[in-house]
Amino acid sequence: MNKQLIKDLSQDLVDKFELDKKQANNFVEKMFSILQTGLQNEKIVKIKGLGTFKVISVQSRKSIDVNTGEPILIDGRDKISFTPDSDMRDYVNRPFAQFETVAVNDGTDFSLIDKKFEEEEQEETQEKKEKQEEKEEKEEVQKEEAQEDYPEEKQDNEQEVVVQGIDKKEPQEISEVSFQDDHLTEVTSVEENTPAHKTPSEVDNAYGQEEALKEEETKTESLTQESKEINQKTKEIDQEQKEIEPKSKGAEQEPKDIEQEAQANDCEQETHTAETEQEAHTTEIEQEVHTATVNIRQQFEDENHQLQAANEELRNNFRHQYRLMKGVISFFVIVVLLCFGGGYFLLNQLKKRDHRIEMLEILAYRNNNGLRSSAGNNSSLNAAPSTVSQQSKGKQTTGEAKAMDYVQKETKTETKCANNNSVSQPSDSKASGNTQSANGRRNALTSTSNANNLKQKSSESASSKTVSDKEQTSYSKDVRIRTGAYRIVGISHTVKVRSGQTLYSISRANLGPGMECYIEAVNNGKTEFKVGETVNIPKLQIKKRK
Amino acid sequence: MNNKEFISTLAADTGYTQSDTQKMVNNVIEAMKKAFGDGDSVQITNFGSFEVKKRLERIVVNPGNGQRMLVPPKLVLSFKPTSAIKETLKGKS
Repeated sequence: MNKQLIKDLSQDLVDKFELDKKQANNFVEKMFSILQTGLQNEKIVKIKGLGTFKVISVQSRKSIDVNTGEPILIDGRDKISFTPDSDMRDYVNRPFAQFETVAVNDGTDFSLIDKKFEEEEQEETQEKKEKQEEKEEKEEVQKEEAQEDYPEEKQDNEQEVVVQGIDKKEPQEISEVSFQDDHLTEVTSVEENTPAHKTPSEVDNAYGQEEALKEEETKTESLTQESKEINQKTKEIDQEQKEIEPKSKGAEQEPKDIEQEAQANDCEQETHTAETEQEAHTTEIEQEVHTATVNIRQQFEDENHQLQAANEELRNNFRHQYRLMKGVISFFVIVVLLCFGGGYFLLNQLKKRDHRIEMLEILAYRNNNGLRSSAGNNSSLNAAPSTVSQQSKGKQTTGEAKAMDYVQKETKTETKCANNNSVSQPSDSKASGNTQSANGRRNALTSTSNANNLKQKSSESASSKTVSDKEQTSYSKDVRIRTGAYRIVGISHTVKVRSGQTLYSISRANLGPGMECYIEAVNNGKTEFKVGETVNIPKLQIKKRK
Repeated sequence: MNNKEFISTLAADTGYTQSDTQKMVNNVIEAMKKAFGDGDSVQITNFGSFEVKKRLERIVVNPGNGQRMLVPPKLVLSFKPTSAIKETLKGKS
C-alpha cells in the first residue's frame, strides 16, 4: 500500500510526451484544479476513463448528541460523490471478477456451512492433538517409571522391618512393570503404524526394537516366576532364614528389574530418538523441498522481473527509434518536397526568361516592320510602338490614316472640281451666262455634296467598327451582359409598346425569358415604357466559348 | 461539464491542442489505473485521495420476493476529498 503522488503520475507523461518534469506536474495539477472548479460551477464533471464526480447536497437532519443526549440539528451540506467509469471499475475489481451474485434457495441452513468449516479446522487440530497425546503418553510413562524408583528405595529401607510386605509388593511392582511394558509395546506399535508409511529403514529399526522389547518382556516374565517360586520357598523354609534369603534375592532381583526397566527405558528413548530423528529427517526433506520450490519460484520471479525490465527497455528503445525514424522520414519528405518546389520554380523562371526573350525578339522584328510601314505614311503615331497592342493601334491608325488619305484625295478632287468650276465659271460666265454658271454651281454643289456624302460614308465606314466597339464597350459595362451568354451585334427591329406591356413581357415575347437586360442595354438602361413608345430589340449572337 | 468541455478548458489553460491534452489526460488516468492495480492509493494535493477498498461478501434480501442473494466480495475504487474542499462546499450551501 504505497501512496502515489502527482509526481509519480506525471512521471509517465515525462517519459512518453518528452515534457519537463515541471510542465508535467503543472499539467496534472491543472487537470485536477479544473476538475474542482468545474465541480463548483456545474456540480458534475465527467472524465472518460476515470469516472464521474458529482456534488450532492445532503439535507439537514436531526440527531442526538451522543455525549449529552440532547437533540441536535446537523446542518445540510454538499458532498462530492465519485462513481468510477465502468472500465475503471472492472479493472479495479479484476481479482474478484470471477464471482457472481448467487441466488440462495430458501431453507438453506448456513450453520451447516459454518460447521463444515469448523470441522475442517478441527480435523487439522485433531491431528496435532494426537501427536501431542502420544508425546504426553510417553512422558507419562517416563514419569511413572521415575516414580517407581522412589518406592523401591523406600522398600529397601523397609525391607529389614517388614519382609512379607516387600514380598507382596514385589510382584505388584513387577506386574506394574509388565503392564508398563505392555503399554510401551502398544505405544510402539501405534508409533510404528504411523511412520510405517514413510521409509522401510524405519520399519526395520522399529522391528528390531520390538524384538528387543519382547526379549526383555520374556525375561521379566521369567523373573516374576522366579520371584513366585522364591516366595513359595520362603514360606516353606523358616521365617527368619527365609527373611534373609529373599532379602538378598529380592535385592538382587530388584536391581535387575531396575536395570531391565532402565534398558527398556533406553530402548524406548532410542526408539523415540530414532522416530524423532526420522521425523526430523522427513521434516528436513520437506523443508528442503519447500525451500527448493521457493528458490525455484524466486528464480522464476527474478527471471520474470528481468524479462519484464528487458521488455520495457526494448520498448523504450523501440519508441526512441520510432521517434528518430519519424523525424528522419519527415525530414526526407520535406527535403524532397523542397527539391520539387525548387525545380518547379527554376523551370518557371527559365520559361519566363524564354518568353521574355521571344517577346523581345518579336518586338524587335515588329519594330523594324513598323518603322518601315510608318516611314511610308509619315505618321508620327508609329514613333515608338513598344507593345503588340500599340502595334495593333498603329495598324488602326494606319487604317485611319489611309481613310484620311482617301478623304484628302477626294477633297483634292473636290478642289480640282472646284478649280474646274472656278476655271469654267469665268469661261461660262464669259461664254454662256448665269444659268450655266448656276448649273455649274449646282454641279459643284452636287459634287461637293457628293464629296461630303462620300466623306461621311468613308468616315462612317472608317468609324463604324470603332462605333460598334464603343457600343460593345458601353453594353459590356453592364455586368449581366458582359457575363451573359449573348453578345449584342446590332438592333434587329423596333417594337411599339402597347397598353399593358412591360419590359418583361416585351423581352419575353421577342427574345425569351430572362433576356430583359439586353433590351435595357439597347434602350439606354430604360426599364419603364409608356404606351406608344418605340423599343429597340437587339440582335443577339451567342458568344463562342474560347 | 462533460469530458469534451473538460478537455477544451484544460487545453485552453495549458496551451496544448485538444487532441494532445486528451492523450495526456488518458496517460495520467492510465498511470492511476496502474497504481490501483498494484493496490496503491493515489493522493492528489488540494483535491483528495483515490483508494481501492474491499467490500466483503454479504447476503442481501430482495424485498419484493424475499429472495436471498449472496453478493460476492469486490474491490471498489473510492474517492475521499480533502477537508479543505469539504469546507468550501459546506460554506457554499
